[in-house]
Amino acid sequence: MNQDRYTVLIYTEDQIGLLVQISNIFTRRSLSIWSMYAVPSNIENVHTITIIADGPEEKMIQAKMQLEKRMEVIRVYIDKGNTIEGWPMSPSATSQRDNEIEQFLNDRNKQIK
Amino acid sequence: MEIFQGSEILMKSLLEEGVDVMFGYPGGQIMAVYDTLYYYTDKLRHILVRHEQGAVHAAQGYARIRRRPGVVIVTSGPGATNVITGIADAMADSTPLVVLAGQVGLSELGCDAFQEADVIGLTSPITKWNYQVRHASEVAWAVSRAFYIANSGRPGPVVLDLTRDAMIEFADYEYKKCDFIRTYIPKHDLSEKSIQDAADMINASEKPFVVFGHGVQISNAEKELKDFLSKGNIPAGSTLLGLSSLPTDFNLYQGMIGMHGNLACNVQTNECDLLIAVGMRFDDRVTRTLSSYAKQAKIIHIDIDPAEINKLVKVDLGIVGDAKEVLAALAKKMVFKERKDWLKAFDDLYEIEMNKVIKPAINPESGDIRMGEVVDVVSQRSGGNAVIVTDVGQNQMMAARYSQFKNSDSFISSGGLGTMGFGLPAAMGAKIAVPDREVCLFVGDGGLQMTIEEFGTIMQEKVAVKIVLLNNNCLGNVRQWQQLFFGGRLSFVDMINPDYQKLAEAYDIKYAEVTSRDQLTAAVDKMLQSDEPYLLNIHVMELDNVMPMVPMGHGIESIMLSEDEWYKKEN
Ligand SMILES: Cc1ncc(C[n+]2csc(CCOP(=O)(O)OP(=O)(O)O)c2C)c(N)n1
Repeated sequence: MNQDRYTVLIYTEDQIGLLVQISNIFTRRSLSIWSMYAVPSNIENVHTITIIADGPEEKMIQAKMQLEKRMEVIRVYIDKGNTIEGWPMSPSATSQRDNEIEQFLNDRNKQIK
Repeated sequence: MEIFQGSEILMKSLLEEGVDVMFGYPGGQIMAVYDTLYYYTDKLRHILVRHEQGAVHAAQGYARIRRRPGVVIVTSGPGATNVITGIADAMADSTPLVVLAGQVGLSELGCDAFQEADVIGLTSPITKWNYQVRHASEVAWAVSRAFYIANSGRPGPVVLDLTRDAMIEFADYEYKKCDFIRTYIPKHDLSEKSIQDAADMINASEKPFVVFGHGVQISNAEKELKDFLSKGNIPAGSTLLGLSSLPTDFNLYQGMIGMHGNLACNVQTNECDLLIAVGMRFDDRVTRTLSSYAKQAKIIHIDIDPAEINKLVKVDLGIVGDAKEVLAALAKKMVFKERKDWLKAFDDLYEIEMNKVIKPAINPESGDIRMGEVVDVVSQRSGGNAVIVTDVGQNQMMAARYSQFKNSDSFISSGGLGTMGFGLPAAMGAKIAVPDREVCLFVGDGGLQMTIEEFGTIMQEKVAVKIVLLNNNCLGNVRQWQQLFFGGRLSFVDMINPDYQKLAEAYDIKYAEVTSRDQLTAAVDKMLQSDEPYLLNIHVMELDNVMPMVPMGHGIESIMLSEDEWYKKEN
């Protein structure tokens, strides 16, 4: 299977121990993590974890699906290549996704009874 | 708001969740909880197992049949590590569990304190959710979330790591049942378009075949499945864990798929023009070699878990949804088709299997007793009404192949993990969950000895499980593989058995032994008539093999009918 480089952007709730869970999901599928970067996002109480990892596309998609099953993970984006110019992350690279996440959380928050 | 100690908040929260039984074992860090439990025994039944592995498998048996989380309570360190196997098993088989594990105090965490184990780290990959509860103020919140997560969407095990501080501190208590987590969407809305697309594909198909799994029972979709099949006149096969979702005698039911599944189901998977998978995950025991699995067919996959779609088998249409809703919506759009030749092909294949495999397995005229005939006799004499629990190995496959089912929730087995030792405690948990139903366990002599300590629990709680020991003096399943695929080198599979009669007597379990065919039916009847725990030790043929078999490395069309005959397609 073709090994390619991917950038995986993970939005999460603030939760202890999540980094280990997330890296396990990669290593279990033999996806090698090249770098990992976790910071609070611009959205309140939401963090982002950016992982640059190598592996076949199919496994990368499987990892995304499994990541999204973790209770505290909000959404996962994968892009081919190291999409992030000027590593670590430039704010503009994520601003549109930040908006999407914010919108999603706003919609969900409205459903809280 | 009233103030309570953490351990009492835990009890109150469990009661709020409708818990009636817990399976557990006390120890140092969970003692505060056990001390509180002392005052709650009128409302919460606690079953004291003999090993924590027994607790978790018993809770699985309970959960599978009651379709609600089984509750386990254990101490920290070794208590918690002893439940790992069962948690992994529950994860693989989508079984809802809430496991409450003691943990050392906050100041000792990370200091290699006595009986400290990193339970969160250990259980993360094998739980749907886990959480370390550090303060009493979090207890009610964590419990409500645990039950919600465990039993919604695709169910699974949840672990709460209860630090001592959380159990002994006092906090305000108010219980709010959780039914929403903003990052968690247990059920996706149905897409009208994909329902229509699926209906169009099914109605256009001449040779459709449905393969269904555990998801049917989990989503309570037995009736919807039957309606859907009847409306479209579509044949269907079940995975191991899907067994009993349809009555065995339902006209469109074709039996089990997979490695030891029915001939017709496997052959026709590779003949159909449309494969419709419902609430199943294309386990490799079902698909065997993926590169030749249903390549000729279009495939529709219906599952509640989006991560299952296209995980192993690439599909033409994936529908993420609850099986009950999807099948009900599809049934409305089905067009009935005669499918005479297609259905007849199933019958013809069944005929071949009947003559070559089934008859010799369940009606042998001479020789030693065969496992299949024991299962058949138990099934006949219990009228297909018993809950059949199995261990793992040949006993499991024979029980799956030859049990007849009238009702759903009648088959409990360890599928995904294949855990030997699952059977006895799971049967015990099932019987505790449904005391009015007959619960029969089929178990090998290897698997029985793996969790045989639970005889103690069965004795103490007077759990009237019927244990049918298919005793072949060896690890039969491994022996079968060694015989067939490892040049007959039988490497460490022979076992000297203990005196089961003495063991049964020691534990006050009724006992009978069957050594010849003419004793079998009467012995089974006597066992079924008893309302006490019962061990029926049946000496079965040592070199019996489970057939048909799709061996490792083969596609599902490549089927052994016996040690020296392979199925050949007739043209
Ligand atoms: C905990 C565990 N260890 C090992 C195995 C591998 N294994 C699968 S079946 C089997 C033999 C089972 O023997 P027995 O319980 O006597 O049942 P039989 O196959 O003879 O019916 C073994 C060792 C397993 N599934 N689970």
